[in-house]
Amino acid sequence: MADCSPISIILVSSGSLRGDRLLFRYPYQELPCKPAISPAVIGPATADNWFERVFPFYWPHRYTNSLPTVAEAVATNPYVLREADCSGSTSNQGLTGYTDKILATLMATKTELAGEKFELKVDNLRFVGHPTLLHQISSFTDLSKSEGPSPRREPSPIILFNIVFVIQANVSPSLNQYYHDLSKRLALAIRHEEWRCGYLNKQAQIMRDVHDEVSAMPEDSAPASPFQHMIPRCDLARELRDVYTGLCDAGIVNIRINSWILVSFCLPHKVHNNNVDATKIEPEAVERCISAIRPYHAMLLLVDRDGLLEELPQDCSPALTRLIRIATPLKSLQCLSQDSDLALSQIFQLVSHLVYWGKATIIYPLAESNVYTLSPNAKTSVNSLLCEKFLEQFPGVCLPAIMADFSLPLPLGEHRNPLGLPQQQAQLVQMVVWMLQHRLLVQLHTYIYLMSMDPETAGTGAAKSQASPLLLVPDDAARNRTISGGSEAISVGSPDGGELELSSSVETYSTYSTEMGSDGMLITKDARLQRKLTESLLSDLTEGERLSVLKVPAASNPEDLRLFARLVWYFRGQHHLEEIMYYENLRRSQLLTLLDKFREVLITCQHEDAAAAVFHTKQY
Amino acid sequence: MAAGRNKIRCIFFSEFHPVAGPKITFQVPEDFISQKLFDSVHIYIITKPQLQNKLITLDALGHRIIGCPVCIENAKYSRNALLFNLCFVFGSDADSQRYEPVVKKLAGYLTTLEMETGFLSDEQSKQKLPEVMQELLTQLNTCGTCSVPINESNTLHLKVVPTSEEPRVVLEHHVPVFLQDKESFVSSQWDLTTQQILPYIDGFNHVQRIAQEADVDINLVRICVQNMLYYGVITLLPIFQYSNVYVCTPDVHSLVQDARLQAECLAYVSKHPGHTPPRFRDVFALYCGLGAGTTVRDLCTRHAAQLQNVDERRLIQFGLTKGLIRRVRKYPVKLTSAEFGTAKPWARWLTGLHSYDEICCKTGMTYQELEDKVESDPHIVVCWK
Repeated sequence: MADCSPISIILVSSGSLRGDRLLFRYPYQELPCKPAISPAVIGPATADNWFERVFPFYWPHRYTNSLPTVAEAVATNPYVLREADCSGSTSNQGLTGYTDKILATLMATKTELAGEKFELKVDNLRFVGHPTLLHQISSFTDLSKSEGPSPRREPSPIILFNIVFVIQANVSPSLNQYYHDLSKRLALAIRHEEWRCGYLNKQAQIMRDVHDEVSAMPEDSAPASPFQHMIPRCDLARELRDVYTGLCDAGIVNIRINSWILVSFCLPHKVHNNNVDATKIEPEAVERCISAIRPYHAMLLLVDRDGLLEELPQDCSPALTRLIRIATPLKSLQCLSQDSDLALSQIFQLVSHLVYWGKATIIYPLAESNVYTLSPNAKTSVNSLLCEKFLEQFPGVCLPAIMADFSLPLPLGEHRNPLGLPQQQAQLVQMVVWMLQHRLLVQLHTYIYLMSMDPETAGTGAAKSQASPLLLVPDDAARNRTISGGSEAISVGSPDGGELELSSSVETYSTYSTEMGSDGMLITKDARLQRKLTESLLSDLTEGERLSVLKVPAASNPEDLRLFARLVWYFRGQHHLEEIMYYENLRRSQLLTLLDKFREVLITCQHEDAAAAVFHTKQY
Repeated sequence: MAAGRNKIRCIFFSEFHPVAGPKITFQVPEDFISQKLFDSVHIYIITKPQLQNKLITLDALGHRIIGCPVCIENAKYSRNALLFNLCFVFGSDADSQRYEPVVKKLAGYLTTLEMETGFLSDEQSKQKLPEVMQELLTQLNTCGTCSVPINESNTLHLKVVPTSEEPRVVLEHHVPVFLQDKESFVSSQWDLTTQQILPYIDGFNHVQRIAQEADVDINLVRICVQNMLYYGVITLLPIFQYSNVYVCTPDVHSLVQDARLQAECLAYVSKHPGHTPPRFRDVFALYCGLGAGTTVRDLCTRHAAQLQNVDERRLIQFGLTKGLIRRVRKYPVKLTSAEFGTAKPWARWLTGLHSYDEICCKTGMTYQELEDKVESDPHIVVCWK
């Protein structure tokens, strides 16, 4: 996958005075050709030719490299070259070959294209920008004549400007949108400052002066680049440089245009991939993670708490700082909401915000019963930077050894040495937190499936059950409940909607039946009631499933059956134990006992949460 | 593929007129690109010399225009050069990447035609162009391919090749498995080497063994397999061994939800095809029985009853191809890095980057030999992932 960082940032203007002009570009020196991207031709060319001669038709994607060995194949996959090949460009050498003048003509678009996304792809480079008119041609010029923001000012020599990011063409399409968004934000901020105090024209004047000075210098004493000279003299040049370096370093832009308008931006492609270079976390994955936040989740900060508080803008919401101060991986969001005295919905928003910016992640609160295992993406290399980082944090402990310990999924409590000192236990928890922060561990959850026993109906029963709308209803209901978790959380245990009817009927039936039992009379009536009870309880199930459930010995106990019926719609593999415990206000032991009693019809399956899995992409 | 979204909306031929400057000479359908639109974007269509012969895609005003400007220099032209560009127009949300090679190739054809016969500079032959463009538009949009004869010696052969992901690197221990029925392919369609290895791709042989059995160089096998991977004919799986460990992925849920997948699964994993298929409950219990710490051997002993009608190799194979389960590999790591590579030749594989499969393939050790060596050294830990 190509690099998400921009290759260059360019500011161009077009105006009546000087025509199209490239005012600033950064980096001003040509980037040296990156070896990882450039398709180096490896191996003897004869082999290559031979191959094309032999298979001219079966290999539409032409090779430029020869038969790859393992190491070469990684660096130069033949298919990578397809696009570069067809576009006829030699290699990916940044902006080499594009003079300032050419760039200026290309980027300073006609006014018709202003105010919209501008995207140009030339061979393997993509230029993304948002051409912006400094003044609205039709409405604003009339306005400024009569009562513009500063009527005394001269008519602006700049009509249109464009901040363009140059990126590689083969990156994911969603990246274009983000770069366009950033370009637009910068453009709007600059235009605002121009309207307020003529910022752009002043800065452009400085830039033009530097250009003129440098070009006026004699050839041999001329410095490397006029852009280098702009940096100390021109605010806007420095701001654009900061945008570029911010994007390249961390994917985060946090600058003030003219020390006044804050432009903050985060490139999810980059922010979330900083820690783990092995994975590729797409912004859609982050969105899915955010939409999966539930009240029982906890927030785990991925960065240093104090550093984060320092970083926050001064005018940020006090609720955010309060949340960050009290955040702990041990407490659920619902707990945090109570502790911080903030509404749960607000907590959700703040947490989503932090997750989006790559400052936090969502985990299940640390508990002894949590089962962790090594993430498929964990880097096990013995000499990696990660190991050194770990050694810094926990002197004398070797990361691979700890990772080996966590290779087998065990409840956290069982990793503890019973004879160990309390400090050792604390260190273990800290190590788990550290590994979770670096996405080395992934939590496994237990999911439960109801599978009928009956051999005749078993095969078709499960299939049929899926088709029957009856079953989809409770599933949907469950989803609705979980999604609207914010409001749900407060009313834990008080069932709602369709469930209300069911459980109230359960109450009535159960009181009846216990009365009957204590009386020791009217056995027939009791039996009839019992049948009614089971019918109403298990009405969501297919015939085969109901029969199988009733065959289980524990089903004869009304208490157990009632609990089972209450939980049965969780047994479709969409809810893990912790979720069921939270929504039904049960203890783990209660739930496990029930599962054990009905184990004949239940199948448990352990795997990671689908929302968490997006951070640990699948491998074979 | 979205039906109408990725279709070519318009094809236009633009050239630099010696008097009038850049203009659209022909377009099909007529008047799709207005003069106003063309005026605002013509610098990206009839370009400066530096951008000639480059593939240029412009997104503007709701259109995506793909072109490749060409300049032929010759004293016979009125300005010593002929500049032209045949552009395809799409909607701005189209997935147009696959058309880029087509545009590029078309530019090459037109250049050849002009150089050989003066096709574009001769006013009479140029009049054929709108017909050709109409033909291109219809055929490419309907069939994805076209062959338009221009004259005796030139025919435009074009094909839209869908862009697919670059295939994974094929390693020695990977096992190629057909995704569709092997018989449904015409084997003569493939190249000679692929035809030679085709019989050995049975879903259980790994690349190294295929190379040995077919007597083909291993690198050629890898390239052939990668080629088939590119076309989506096969997928790569790890070697099946009874010592392997697999775990469920969240996608295992789809097996319960998707009745069609369920039926497919039962038919696939059945031990005696044609006889009574295994019960779904059993198959699902087998998948759920997988987990870290449970080898396939363990699974077989624990679930002997359920395995009566189930072929465990096909069970694993199905789970892997559908992504219901994934393999958990063992990565031996030597903790003290001081004596790397000195003591034993195989110690250099213990960096934590190589899995058991890889080490076994590279060193020729069996799984058990490696396991014994790793077990006997207290400085080696094993990470499962």
